[in-house]
Amino acid sequence: MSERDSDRPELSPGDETLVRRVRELLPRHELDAERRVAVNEALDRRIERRRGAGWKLAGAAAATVAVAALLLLGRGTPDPVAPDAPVAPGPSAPLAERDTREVDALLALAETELSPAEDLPEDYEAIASLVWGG
Amino acid sequence: MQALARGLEGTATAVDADREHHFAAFVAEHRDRAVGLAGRLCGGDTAAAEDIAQEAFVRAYRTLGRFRGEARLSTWFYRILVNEARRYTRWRTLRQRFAGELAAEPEDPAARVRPDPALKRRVTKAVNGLSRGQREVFILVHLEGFTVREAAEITGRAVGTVKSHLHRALRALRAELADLAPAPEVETS
Repeated sequence: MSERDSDRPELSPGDETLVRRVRELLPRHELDAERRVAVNEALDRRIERRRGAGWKLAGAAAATVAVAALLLLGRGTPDPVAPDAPVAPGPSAPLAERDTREVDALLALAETELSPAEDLPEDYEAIASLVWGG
Repeated sequence: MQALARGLEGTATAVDADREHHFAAFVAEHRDRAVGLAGRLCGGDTAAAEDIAQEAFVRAYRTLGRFRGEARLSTWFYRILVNEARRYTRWRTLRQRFAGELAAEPEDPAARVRPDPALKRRVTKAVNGLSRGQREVFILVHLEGFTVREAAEITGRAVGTVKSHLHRALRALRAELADLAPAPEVETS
């Protein structure tokens, strides 16, 4: 296979039209000059804040952990937990004790420092399996 | 980038100053594209798009020193950004499941052309209805102009897999949005 074969897929005229229409109907979020300045300043603040906190987990990942923790605390009957869930007590554990251990696991996850490695941790997958058991 | 510029005048070493300079240049070059791509990956949520892009830049900033050559850095950066968009999408799914539907996203006030809202919702729904793999490569290649090879590197998939996803994505969209691209009339003699 030549290098060119992998560059761009060839589309039929109909598909070209379809793709063009989708592109038109889903326009890109464009930044004007004012918005660019705002994004730059927000990025500055985020880097300074993160540097000051030792690059701990933050942003949407931490928010998800917090949401999941609150949901576990607030729910009634627990959902079944999949056998291969990363951290979960056995089904025979008392409800209160099981909830406490699940929340502790989530909070421990929240305190994990962000890894600069190329393969980013799938925090959301672990949380989802804890909450939904699968 | 004022904080970064102040860093240049402070206690930063020559190496750190060089890193800051390169990072500022990198942000200036990729900021608009990053925000645009993030916006499409998260279904048009403009606030999330900027948040996702900033988070990706922060992660890139942390590991800027380990890369040699801008080309590899940009591909890796967009891979980070796609991962951040995935995180956001899962977070939103969790929140919707337990806290109810989110409010409809407001129209982008900076949009130069305002498409028919109903049609836009229909197209958004069709694209969001693709599998994650199909949606990502469709957006990367057909909406954002990345090559198939770049999309493969960014999403961590084989070129063949990307092509397969593109083929299936188009097939699904053709079925949902056939009226947007009517079949050409066949000439009869």
